[in-house]
Amino acid sequence: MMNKHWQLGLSFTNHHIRLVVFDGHKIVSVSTADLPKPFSQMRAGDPQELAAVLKDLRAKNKTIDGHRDVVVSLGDEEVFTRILTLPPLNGRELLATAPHELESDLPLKADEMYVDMYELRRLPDGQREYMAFAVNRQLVHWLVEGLQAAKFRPRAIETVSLSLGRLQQGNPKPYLTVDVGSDYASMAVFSNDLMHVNTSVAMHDEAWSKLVNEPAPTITLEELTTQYNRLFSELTDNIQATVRYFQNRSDTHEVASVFISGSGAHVPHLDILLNKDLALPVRINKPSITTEVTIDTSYLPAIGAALHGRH
Amino acid sequence: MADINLLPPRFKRIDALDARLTHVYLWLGIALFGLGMVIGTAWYSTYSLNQQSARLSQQITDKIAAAQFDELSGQVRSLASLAEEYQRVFARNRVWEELFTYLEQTIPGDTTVEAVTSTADKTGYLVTVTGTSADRRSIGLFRENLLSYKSQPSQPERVSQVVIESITADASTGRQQFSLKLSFDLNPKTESK
Repeated sequence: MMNKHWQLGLSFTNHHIRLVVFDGHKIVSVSTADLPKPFSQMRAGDPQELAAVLKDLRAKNKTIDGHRDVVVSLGDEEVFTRILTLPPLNGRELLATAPHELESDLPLKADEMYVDMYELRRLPDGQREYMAFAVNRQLVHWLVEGLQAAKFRPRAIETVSLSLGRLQQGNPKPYLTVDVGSDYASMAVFSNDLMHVNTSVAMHDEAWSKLVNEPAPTITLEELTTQYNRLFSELTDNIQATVRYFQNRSDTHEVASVFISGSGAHVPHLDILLNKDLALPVRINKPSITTEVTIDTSYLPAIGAALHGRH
Repeated sequence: MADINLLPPRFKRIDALDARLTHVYLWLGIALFGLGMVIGTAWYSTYSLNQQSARLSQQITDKIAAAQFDELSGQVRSLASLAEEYQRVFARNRVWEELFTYLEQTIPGDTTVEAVTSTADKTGYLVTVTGTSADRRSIGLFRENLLSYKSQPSQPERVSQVVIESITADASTGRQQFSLKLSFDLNPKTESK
């Protein structure tokens, strides 16, 4: 059940920050701002740089007014996800144990990460499988300081994949979300309102990055197929591996549909290309809630973040 | 959707505190409402009881007052009869005083009164005056004087009738013993004479 509390959703790409204002019923406004330098560089610097961008956003978007609560959707490349198998533990024990379980597999020490998790399933031997999320503490501190300096109140930080999966919440059949950006593509499989798998793949291709950042890119299906064959081969291979991984773990469920988003989703024929390779219905992801403004796919992570905790 | 939150624990604690406070406020509200209901009910019960008590008290007071009124009425009636009696006694004494004064004033010089007795009824007295006199003429004069007795000069005469009951000569003293009967009216009317 949704409440009437206003909540803002914030998402980052490497060059932009996007803000969505949700009044508890509908999307009231969307804003975007250019980052003064790539996010990967900014996040290691002074939080006041972030605060300056956010203050500018607040000044330009009058609908924000005095509303402060914000949920941040971080790119999947910033958040590590792992499936952990652990004995039954209470919440406090889990959060104390998980960083030590994760540090052997991540480029972070236990005391350098913030962790959250949820239970995926119970195994026959009594153990539990958890989907664990870890993020660099330094990044979180930078975000929190920047948000607070701009008079925002951080309510949650999550991943883009969870934000995007939330837009199809309640879908009775398993579905795959694919967020295609200029540098990365991330994908996740959702079933029973739980994200079961989350992977990402680099999309490092100068031409692709240029194409994606065009306001209205034009390209034929044949050009798309031939010019970006290597890129899409890696993408579709990764998607198929992700789907297989899920279906191997699920006895009865198969992925029924694919929802694409991200700045790459507006590249013409991408849906057709993926449909052809994956043999699954492919659609542009979109929120089921009302919007008062025109939105493009680049705002979807921020919209999903704005809906955090509202179901 | 299973939500996660990668904010530092202190932020989550604030969120959890907010959530708990929401429940605290909710329960506090319910408790206050309940308390209000209890107090309201108690107050209304007391008020209602007071009202009923007041009504009952009023009814009892009314009944007591009515009973007291009846009793007082009886007492007043009793007092009225006592007053009447007192008035009679008082009037009789006054009359007697007047009568004796009058007898002293009107008795002839050679006549003495030895006894005055009376019997009373509602309208007046029957007074018997006995004495001795030197002769019959003095007794007749005494009778005439008594007949003209008035309390005040403007009032009607009180003695409506004087009858010489007997005159007997006393050989040893040579005097005439007499007995007069007076009808003494308590409420004389002008035309009653």
